[in-house]
Amino acid sequence: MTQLPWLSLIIWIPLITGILFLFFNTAKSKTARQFGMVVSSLVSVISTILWATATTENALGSYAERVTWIPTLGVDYSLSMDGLSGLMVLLTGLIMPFAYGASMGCLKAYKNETRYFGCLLIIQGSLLGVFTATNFFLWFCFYEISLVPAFFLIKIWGSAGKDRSSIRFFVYSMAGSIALLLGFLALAGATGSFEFDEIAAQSSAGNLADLIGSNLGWFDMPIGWLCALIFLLIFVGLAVKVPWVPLHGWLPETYDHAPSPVTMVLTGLMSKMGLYGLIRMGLPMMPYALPKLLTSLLVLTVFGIIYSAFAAMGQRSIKRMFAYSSINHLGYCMLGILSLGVVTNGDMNLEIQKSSVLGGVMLQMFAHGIIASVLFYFVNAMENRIGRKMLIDEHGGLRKVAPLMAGTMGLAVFASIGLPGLNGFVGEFLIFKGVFALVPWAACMAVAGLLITAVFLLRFLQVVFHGQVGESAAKFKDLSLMDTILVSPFIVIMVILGFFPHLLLSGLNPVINNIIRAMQF
Amino acid sequence: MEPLIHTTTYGDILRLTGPEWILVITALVVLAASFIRSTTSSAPCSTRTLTWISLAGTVLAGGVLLFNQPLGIVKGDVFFVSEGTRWVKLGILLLAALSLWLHLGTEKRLNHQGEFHALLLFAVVGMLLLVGADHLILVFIALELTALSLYVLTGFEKNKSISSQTAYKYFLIGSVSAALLLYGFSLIYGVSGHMHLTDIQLAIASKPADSLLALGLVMALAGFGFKIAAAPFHMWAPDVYQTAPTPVSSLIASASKVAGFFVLGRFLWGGFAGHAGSIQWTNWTSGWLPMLGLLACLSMLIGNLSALKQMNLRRLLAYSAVAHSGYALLGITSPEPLGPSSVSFYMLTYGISIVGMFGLLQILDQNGGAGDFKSLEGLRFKSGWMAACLMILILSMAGIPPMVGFLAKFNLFIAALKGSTEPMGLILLVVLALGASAVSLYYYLKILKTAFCTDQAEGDQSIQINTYQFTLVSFTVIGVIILGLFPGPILSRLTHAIGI
Repeated sequence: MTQLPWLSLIIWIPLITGILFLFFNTAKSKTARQFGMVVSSLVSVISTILWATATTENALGSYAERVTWIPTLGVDYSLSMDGLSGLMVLLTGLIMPFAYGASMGCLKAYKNETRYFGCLLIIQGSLLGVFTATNFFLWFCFYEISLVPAFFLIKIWGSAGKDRSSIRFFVYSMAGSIALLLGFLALAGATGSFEFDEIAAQSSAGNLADLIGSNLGWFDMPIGWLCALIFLLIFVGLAVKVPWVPLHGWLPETYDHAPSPVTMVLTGLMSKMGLYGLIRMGLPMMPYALPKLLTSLLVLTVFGIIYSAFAAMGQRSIKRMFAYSSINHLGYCMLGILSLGVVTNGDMNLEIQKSSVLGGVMLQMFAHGIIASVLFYFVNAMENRIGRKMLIDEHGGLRKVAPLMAGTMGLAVFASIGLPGLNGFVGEFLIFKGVFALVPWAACMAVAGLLITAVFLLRFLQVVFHGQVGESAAKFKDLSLMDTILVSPFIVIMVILGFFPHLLLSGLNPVINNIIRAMQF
Repeated sequence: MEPLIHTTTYGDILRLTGPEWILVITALVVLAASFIRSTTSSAPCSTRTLTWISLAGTVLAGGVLLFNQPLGIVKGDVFFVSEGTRWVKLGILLLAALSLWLHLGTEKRLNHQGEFHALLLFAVVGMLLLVGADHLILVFIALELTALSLYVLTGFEKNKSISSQTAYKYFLIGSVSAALLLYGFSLIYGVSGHMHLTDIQLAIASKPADSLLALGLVMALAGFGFKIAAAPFHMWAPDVYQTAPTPVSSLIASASKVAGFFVLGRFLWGGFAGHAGSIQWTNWTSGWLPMLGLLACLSMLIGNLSALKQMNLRRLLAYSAVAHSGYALLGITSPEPLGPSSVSFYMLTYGISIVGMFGLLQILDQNGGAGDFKSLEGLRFKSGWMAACLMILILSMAGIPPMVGFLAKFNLFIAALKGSTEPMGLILLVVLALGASAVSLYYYLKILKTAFCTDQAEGDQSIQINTYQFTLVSFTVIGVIILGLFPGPILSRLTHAIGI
């Protein structure tokens, strides 16, 4: 019996349902909404099962599919799921229904709800496509598709200022895409292939620089600089999405003006597309390019970590504070990824540190996805209760009127700070452990970011939940049953992964080993 | 495949040029029908009847091309039919049929419908001949047949002064470019002593670069540049797009471009491959490639930057068309089969989306819009279907996957990078093209923003759409999506056919 094309199913079911939702906008929206929720959850359940049953030992990944698509370009429609893809598929499966559920409660003011949910479903499908495509062309198609519904979600359903921020979001992303496209075209021109695996194989065989030298020869540029340029194009294109600090201009206001459930998706999942792409496409180029760029990129990253932490401290709007905090947390991932470019000269100890950093980066991606979307869920819940955006110092003492919310949100905040025993800790710990060995000065300076994060997050807890109960807060309702049902699995995940990170790490080891082995030089 | 015919008899010539003949006869029938009707009855012949006859002729020509077209060369190498020209001609006929379909939806009645249809069909015949031409004289005749018909069609609403003015402008620029082209051809003939592209190739291969030949090539390129609306020969385009009757604009924007690009590629690679020169950064040698590169640069820059400021949608489309010609010129720099096939695919798919856009504009016009951004306001509330179609067509032109515009552009850039004589020699131009596409996003998104993000105004009426317009736009939208998702069959067939 042939296997069902599971990966195609989880991509196309939500995509097609979402597109149908756009057309049947006038249908009874409640039924449609619930149907959408069922579709989204069903896809999530399948995603989770796929993650759980994937054979992680196989480096090529499981559930592989390949159909000839555009023979003249040598592009196939091919999907596959290795450990890293699996992790991201799992994350998508967890967060999309969560964001969907968060939207169900709060959209009463809008007329055209069916389209809103259609856009969410399209994003779900295209994200799954991004995380499972095995060649650049297909990857890029899904990557761009995800942009369009996100643009409209912000543009149509966002809060005041949405026009400007949605255009900004789109223009930044497209400019990034163009840099990325150019970089990858050069890479594909050199290797003659769009397949990620093929390029990684060329890289690990040590051929990439020669291929680039013999096939590109642009401007008579020294090969080292040409490699550096190509890497920089790919890096910049993807770093816009993460975002990485000098390229983060779109983020604070986009996160602020987007509807909060959409912000959950933006920060929890769409920022991961950038990191995922960097690991898939940036790392193979890295050994050839990074020695030249490493220091300057690391300086910017460390600066970004500290800058965004201070910026978060200065915000009055809760949403903007978490937006900056998000930049800060993903900054650690960028730090980790860049530190992999350090030349080790075959030092086994440093190689082991690199594995630990890469594992840390992946765990941090997962942990940040969970934590940030939970935090924005709470922001959404608060907005729904007071009917507008909330400022930090607006109400005090919410703990008395909403103890359940204070408890669960407190836990999420502590996970975000990186308290041992919660999932935020493990990734950060692994990253810093490795970076200390690889680039000591960067680690020493970036650690300050951890401290500042703790300061502003604790201050947030103190001002919002403790102290005098403000007058306006007297009618503030605690978490409803629906809220509790939606949030509790994530709280459980935070604790469990805090104690047993091995649950995720064991599946990631083959991928990590592959990548690190390919990067030896 | 059928064996090649090397014609010796008129019968063979007739068989080879079957589709062209069918169109000529249809044009005569249309003329006669309208004439007979006007002499026998006081009411003029119904426009729709004439359009249906023309459409039937076009479809018949397409059918002959598809099922019963022998391949071969007319004796003396004047005209040839190959697998590649067959497919390109089919594309031209498809775009012509779509433009005719657009005319079915027109509610504004023009006088002299018989002449209108006949001229339109003659223009299409010119395009078909152009695709198969292998001889300088035939190239010129075919170009002029197309151009003269289009001049008249552009000025068809002769009661409007702006219409005559535009046609006059178009005619003036066009006749100067025709003169340049002819002068260029004569110089080429003087240097090489031949009129056939292949003979020219052989004759000049042994000669060193000749200044007279260079002059001839420059003149010829200027003439071709006018046909494909490449900057700086694009001045006529915005006016023509704005004032010509919609089906005519759509024909000029789609089918005539396909033919123009195909013959340009054939002319340069078929006749002057040895004098291409190089635009490799460090190895710049003179030839027509640097000229082509310059045209491409100028078109991308002028087209995109001028489009930014346009307030009239048709003018905006015209400038964006100039930019698209710039992208397509990149593909011409690459030899067969990659270059011509990617350019043809690009222009065909671009043609489909631009015809769809003209369909939308026609609907807007008939609902009292002035063809500017204001007429798009609140479109989302007035007609969701139109807004959705507009979004898909615009995103396709902007090159966003999964619409076909992205794939076609990607394919074009790959061709420019891979196919040129030195690998990656054109990377600078591709960089420029990508940057220019980023600029183009601004005006494309401005259109979408106006359609989607303006509030519903009081007293807005819903939009009246007739069946013809609905089917036309839906067809193009579906085409754009389907071709984007499954380009394999068509793209590989085209590449294969042109490679033969």
